[in-house]
Amino acid sequence: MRYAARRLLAVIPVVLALVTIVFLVMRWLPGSPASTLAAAGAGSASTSQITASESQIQSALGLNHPIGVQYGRFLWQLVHLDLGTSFIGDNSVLGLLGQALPATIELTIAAMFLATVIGSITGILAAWRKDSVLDVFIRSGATVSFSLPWFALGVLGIVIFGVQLRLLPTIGRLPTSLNYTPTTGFVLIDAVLQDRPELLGPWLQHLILPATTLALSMAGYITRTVRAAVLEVRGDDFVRTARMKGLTEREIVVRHVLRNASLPIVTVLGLQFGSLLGGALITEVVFSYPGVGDLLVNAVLERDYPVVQGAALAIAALYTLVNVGVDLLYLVLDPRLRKAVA
Amino acid sequence: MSDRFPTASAARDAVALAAAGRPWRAAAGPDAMRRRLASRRIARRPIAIVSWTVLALLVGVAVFGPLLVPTNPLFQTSSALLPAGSAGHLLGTDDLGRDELARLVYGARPLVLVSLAATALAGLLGVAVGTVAGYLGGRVEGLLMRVVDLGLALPSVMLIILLVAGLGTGPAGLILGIGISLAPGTARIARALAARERSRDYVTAARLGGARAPGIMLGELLPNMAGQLLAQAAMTLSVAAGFEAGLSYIGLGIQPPTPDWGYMVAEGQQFLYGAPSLVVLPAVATVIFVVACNFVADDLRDAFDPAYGR
Repeated sequence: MRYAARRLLAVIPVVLALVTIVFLVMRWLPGSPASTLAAAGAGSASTSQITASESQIQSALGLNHPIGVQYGRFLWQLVHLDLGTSFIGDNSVLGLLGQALPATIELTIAAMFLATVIGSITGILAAWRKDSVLDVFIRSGATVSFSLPWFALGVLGIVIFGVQLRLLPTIGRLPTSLNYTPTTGFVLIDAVLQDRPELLGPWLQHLILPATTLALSMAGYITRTVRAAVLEVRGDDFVRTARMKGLTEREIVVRHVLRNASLPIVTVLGLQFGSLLGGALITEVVFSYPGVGDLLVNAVLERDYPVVQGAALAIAALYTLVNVGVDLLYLVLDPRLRKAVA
Repeated sequence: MSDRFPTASAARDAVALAAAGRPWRAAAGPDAMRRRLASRRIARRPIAIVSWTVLALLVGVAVFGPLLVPTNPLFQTSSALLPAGSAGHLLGTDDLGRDELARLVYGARPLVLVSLAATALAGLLGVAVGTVAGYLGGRVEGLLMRVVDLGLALPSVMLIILLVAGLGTGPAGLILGIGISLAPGTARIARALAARERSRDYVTAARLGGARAPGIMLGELLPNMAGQLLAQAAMTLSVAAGFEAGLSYIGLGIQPPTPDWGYMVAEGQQFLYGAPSLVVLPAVATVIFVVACNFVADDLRDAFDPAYGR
């Protein structure tokens, strides 16, 4: 427990540093939102008129204060969980994030789950038939999958499964015809809370393509890890004992070998989570999936500072929390570590 | 200093090696052998040969593209969305009647050139920081690596999106954004390599021979880290290429009308049903480049780091 508390406390300086970076990057962006807004509303107005309304908008948005004051205000609001309102459409940033974050979390969890399943199966197969054609094939596949560009994978998935085979939907999270109003924002939980099981089918269908896109670029790392882990313990005493006890090969793999490989798998998941989250940002744009990535990218394109800021903070916070979570998960999975920490 | 000379005889050996000239060559019969083995390994693996060839071809297309296709990729004709195989347009035309083959060939340029430049930038920054940190150790290392960790504390895609938003879209912004955000990864590896090498005898020998830190880092450490750094660079290249195309795809990279594979995919997505090739061709081309980089990285690692992946 003490360790967990210490680990959580250590997050604070990291988050503060991230917050500051995000704030500075935001202020340093060229093309102020005021000029964008003014130009948008100006139509055929002259340059001097645009400049005039620009300064009006700037003072309305508080952008005319010295940067130190802006920073102080920003921190103060942050402590009060006030992320401001969007420059466009007057929505509160917190509200926008409340809708977008659950979608992104759903997507990343689904992707991690898929990647773990794909990676474990291929890793075990490769190890069990080491140096066979299958092994070489799987290992090459893993190499192919490293850093596959998400957007290309995504649109190819859309072309094959959406357009050619017409098997899966290619856009969004749920069809609008279902009239989904979020309670928690997590469709799975809401389906139970609102007693609407009919949400689940379309939800899963919409999730398959984006989640697979993300999972494929991550599965290769897990394949490698599992293969190495299985090879390492294959000749160990406890596996021989299990075999002598008369367990089938499948039972040995599931009960003993895979459990031993769980620690490196968690490590890979943790290490790759940043890349996965980054991938989610781009994948969401490909599928118009209403998550934080879609929100962030559109806000950047529209120079909607508060939303960019809020989305960046949410992503950074999620990433940091997952890293802490992975550290704590080690303790659950490995009793030796628990002893070492206590 | 005592830990650097575990025994007096080790120090004497080191001096002797230094006197013999270039210590890492003198001591490294195995190194020359490793290089021979490396070239033999490349010859043995068909995937590696194909990947090197593909990579060379794509870089060639990017550099000499304009000499290969006479058509202007920006020239609009009245015949939009022609299918592949049409007269005068081998791969058809896009929605504005521009020749798809010419756009594909010219589209290789931003991908290859931006990702090469970004990789060079990431390598330069990362190797400099990592080598200094790893060789000097102590407080310098602590400070430098703290900065590196901060760079790694954000998902790199988000870092790039923020940097590109700040630096402006277009090639310069992309190169800086991708290069800076990929530098910390390289710095980590360079630090580990430098820390490993600095306790080797040849470094001790050079130090005893009176060489100064910058000289040792450039003249002794780097040549011995080069192989693994090269493998890392190939991996960085594949990641950078994915980011370049991805950023252009979401509208934050190369801007129209300049042909670019990522941005062409985004444009073609409106015509998925009528002309899927507008999406498929640039998407597949991007994947091919990235995958070729991955296999090349794998091959370099096999060649220079025998302990890896066995």
